[in-house]
Amino acid sequence: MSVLTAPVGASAPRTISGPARITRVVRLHYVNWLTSVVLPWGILMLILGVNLVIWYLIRAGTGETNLDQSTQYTGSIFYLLVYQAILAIVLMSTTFTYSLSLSSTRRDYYLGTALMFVVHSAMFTAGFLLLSYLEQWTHGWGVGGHMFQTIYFGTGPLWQRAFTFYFAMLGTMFLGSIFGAVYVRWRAAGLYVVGAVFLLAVLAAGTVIVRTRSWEAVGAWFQANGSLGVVAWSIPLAAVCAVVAYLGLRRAVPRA
Amino acid sequence: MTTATPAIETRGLTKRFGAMTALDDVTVTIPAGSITGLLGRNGAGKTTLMHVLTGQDFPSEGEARVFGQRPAENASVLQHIAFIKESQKYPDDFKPKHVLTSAPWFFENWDADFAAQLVDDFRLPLNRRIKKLSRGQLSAVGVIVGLASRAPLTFFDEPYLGLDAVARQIFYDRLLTDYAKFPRTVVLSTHLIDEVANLLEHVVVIDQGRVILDSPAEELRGRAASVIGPRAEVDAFLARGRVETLHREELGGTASVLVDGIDDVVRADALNSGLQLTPVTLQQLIVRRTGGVLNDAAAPAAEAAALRGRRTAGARR
Repeated sequence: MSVLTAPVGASAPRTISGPARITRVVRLHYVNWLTSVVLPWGILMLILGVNLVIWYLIRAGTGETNLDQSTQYTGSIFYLLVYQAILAIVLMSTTFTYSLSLSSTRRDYYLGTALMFVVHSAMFTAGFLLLSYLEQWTHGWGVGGHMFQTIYFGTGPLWQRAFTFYFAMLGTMFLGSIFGAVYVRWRAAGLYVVGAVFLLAVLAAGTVIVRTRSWEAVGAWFQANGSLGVVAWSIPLAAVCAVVAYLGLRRAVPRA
Repeated sequence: MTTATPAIETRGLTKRFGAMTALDDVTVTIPAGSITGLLGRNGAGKTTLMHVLTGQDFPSEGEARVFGQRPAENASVLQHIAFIKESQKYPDDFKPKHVLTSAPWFFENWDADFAAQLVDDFRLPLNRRIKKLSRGQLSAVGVIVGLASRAPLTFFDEPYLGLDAVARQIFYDRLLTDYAKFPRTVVLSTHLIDEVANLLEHVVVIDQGRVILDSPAEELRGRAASVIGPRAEVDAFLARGRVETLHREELGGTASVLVDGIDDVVRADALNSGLQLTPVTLQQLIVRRTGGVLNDAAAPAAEAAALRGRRTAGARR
């Protein structure tokens, strides 16, 4: 009775390729780039500004002209990592339902989200590298301060700076994705359980270390490996997080 | 020319949530290239059925096929589906413009001009946070995506909550016009049965997770009517057991009985008995079938059924 001009079922003229289905999920995560790009960089620049003022005040107040030693332990850059972990959770909890309403499969959604983490980490690593060299060339923004060259990140040759920051951020996002997937699948109740499990695991590890009197060994391990080694060791952990998040998401049902 | 494969086919489809059975042995076929009304009361299982058909949820038992394939996690089927629901959640920081930017990436038939025209029609503010939209504006976002996506299979689940009568009429008009130009399969779930009755080509009615009607709309309209006449004549007519009584009202010596199962024979019988047959609306028929009376009540049981009152749904089957 009706002439079907639109593709229907098996007679559909073309199938959207796997890569295209995945990249559109990446684009979806950036459709409101204020949250994912502008805000984190903006806040980071604000932190830099606050640090600059403090460094200037310290110099003016103490007459100390070389802040090299005292500012190397700043953890300002960790803000960026925490933000990305939370971003991973927020993105998943909000775009999962929306993506599925646009008829994405869970698999395509997850692969697209994981690819977004990869792209996002690369973008932020590029910015971080630029800032770490700027800081180096300007001798700590003119006041000997450190924010992008600390004992954790941003020192050593280019590849080392890129490697440590990139995989630290990627790992953080995949860690966040576990919480995102748990929230999407089991809602708040799931988060309580995972949070409790997480806490118990940390407590158990602490207990074992105390009982075996191996704090020194643990400290020595971190010292010996440095941030480069620690980040390298975290890569398999990030891979495990990625798999766990996928398993959680695979049977998740969007809820109103 | 209709394709051999129906758009939707389910067999013994069952969905349980814990002890609650949301879909109970649902077997329906929805033809491709039609506008189908998926009707029923709140909590009847309409949304659950659409969730399973769009791969948002997984069946507990039985099978759901869309264009001949299982929809769950099946990209080649899902890419042809648009699912618009009243309760759709959008990312918190989204504005309508973000939805209208991203949705086209997912629907290959998307028509941007049509979408822009609909934005004007519904007077949708594009740059306001979705959270700040009125209920009607929120519904308009979904309606625009559902229409402009021109997906081969489009589900509208209560799409127009909060839309005023004008906006609803715009929706019906645009849907019909666009459907005529770009035929596709539309499944429309709504409570406003009378408003959409003229759009529907096929009707599926669900009650308490079970399919109680699945037929072309035209057939449905003809087969139910009110039989009006002197009580004795009406009772005699009903006693012949050719029709099913759905609802009965009496005033003085006159009885008016809503019956299902009218055909030429029955029609002639009623007219010969001096009874009046008046057509009933789709809404009346469905209200009576899903809320009123035992639906297996045969004519002789009409009196008893009427006495048992309206809310005997639990005792059904």
